[in-house]
Amino acid sequence: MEAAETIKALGDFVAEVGFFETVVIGLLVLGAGTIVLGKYRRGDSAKQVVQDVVTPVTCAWGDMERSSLSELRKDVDVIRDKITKLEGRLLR
Amino acid sequence: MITIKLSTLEYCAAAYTILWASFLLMGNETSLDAVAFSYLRDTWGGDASSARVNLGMTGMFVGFAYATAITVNGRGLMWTPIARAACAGFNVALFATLAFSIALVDFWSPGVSTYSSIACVFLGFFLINMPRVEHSLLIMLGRVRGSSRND
Repeated sequence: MEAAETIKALGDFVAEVGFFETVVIGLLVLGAGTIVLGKYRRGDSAKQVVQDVVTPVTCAWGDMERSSLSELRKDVDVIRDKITKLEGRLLR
Repeated sequence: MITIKLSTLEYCAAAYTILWASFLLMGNETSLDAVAFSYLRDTWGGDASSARVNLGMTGMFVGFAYATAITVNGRGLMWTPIARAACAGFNVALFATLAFSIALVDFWSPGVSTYSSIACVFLGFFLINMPRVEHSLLIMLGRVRGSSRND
């Protein structure tokens, strides 16, 4: 009974607003939802990338495997490159 | 491996919109006078003649705007993704309404499945453009915040 009422209410809404306008409203909601969901997903992947990139470097430094300034510069460049690629993914 | 760029597919979609609109504009009063298009006519101007011209002109404008946005692309990063998504979204609404209009008269008509499928393809283009739209909105937001800081 509730499902039937919902369908009827939806039908009334479409009849009142118009089908074209209903689709446009639906697209706006869908677009906003996609952006919000995409932001969360990218947040996860960014976290993953940061973990993947930074963890080996920090472990190497924590274990005293590296100590010179040139090695530090190289590691910073690697991390910067990874961040640039991550940002580039948004533009593709 | 052969890769097809998204912009190539979107150019095809824009060309389809222009072609569809031009056929409508080149037609005559009988182009939209079928009973199946009565809902569409009511939405776009009432009688068959004015609905045909309104739809044709709007479709033509949207098609060319779509193609222009794809051509400019990265040089207008702030507005082109929004324009591309808006044009794809318009096509979704247009072809979904067309399918709905036919479905009101004859639900099992092949026109319903054809125009629904076309609307689904445009929905795909709309959704693909969403991450770019988000990026454009972030650029706009950054500029607004930047200018308010300068004030």
